[in-house]
Amino acid sequence: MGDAPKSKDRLFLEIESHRGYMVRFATAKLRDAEQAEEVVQEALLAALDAVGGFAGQSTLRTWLTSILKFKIVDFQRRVISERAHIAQAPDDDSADTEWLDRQFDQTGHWKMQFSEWANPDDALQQQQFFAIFESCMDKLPKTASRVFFKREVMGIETEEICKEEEISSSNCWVILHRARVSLRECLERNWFQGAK
Amino acid sequence: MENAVPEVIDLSCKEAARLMSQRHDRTLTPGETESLKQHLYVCLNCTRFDRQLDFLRRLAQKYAAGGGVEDHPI
Repeated sequence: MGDAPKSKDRLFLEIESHRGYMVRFATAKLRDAEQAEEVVQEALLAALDAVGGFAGQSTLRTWLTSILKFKIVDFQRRVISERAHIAQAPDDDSADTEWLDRQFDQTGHWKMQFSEWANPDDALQQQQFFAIFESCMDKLPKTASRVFFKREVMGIETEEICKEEEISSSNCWVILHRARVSLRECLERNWFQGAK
Repeated sequence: MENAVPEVIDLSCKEAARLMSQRHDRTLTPGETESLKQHLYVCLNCTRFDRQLDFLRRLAQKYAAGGGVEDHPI
């Protein structure tokens, strides 16, 4: 690798490649795709301006995420001062419970026989695998996708997620369980079955 | 430790799966932990499911750290 400073274009491309992740992150927080796009745009522009501040101690994604978090808080403050908080209808987990019930027969056995995944850790080295992971998350019901993202990707404690989402703990567990069972199946079907 | 003997019950796969998932979100009671352990001894399908849930967590963490995007130092 040369020591010459990277061109603005190259930097832009590198930062831009994290956009998909950032949009998902912001959507999980804001529950609104358009607002999420807007905030991500602000964060990306701020990142480009501040790129000298990236010291390389963390990954680029971690650095971008910290800028994004700041922009999200900023955005929420602005929105709250602009209009009164509109209470969201409580989420209903009955659809998730029904979906989970369908995975088992009447005696409580799995309907599906799982296969052993060949070299799952190799998949973690492949960019294409992460693209499949993203599309599997996108296929989940919106609440399940958001709650899973908060719990597993952002690493937020379940209790805090319940509070943010205004749902009970048991409801939260059902939603997360549904998300995991569904993602497991999606990854198996779209990656591991063909990878043997 | 009070009353050290946890109550172990026979779990169906459905109940075991619920606990395997919740294990990632809350601390299971000693009874739940032991019941799940007994189930996993005898159930290959659930053992695979359990391993795959662990993998899912690793995957999500790797993703959060930038996995899937080539990360070049700037």
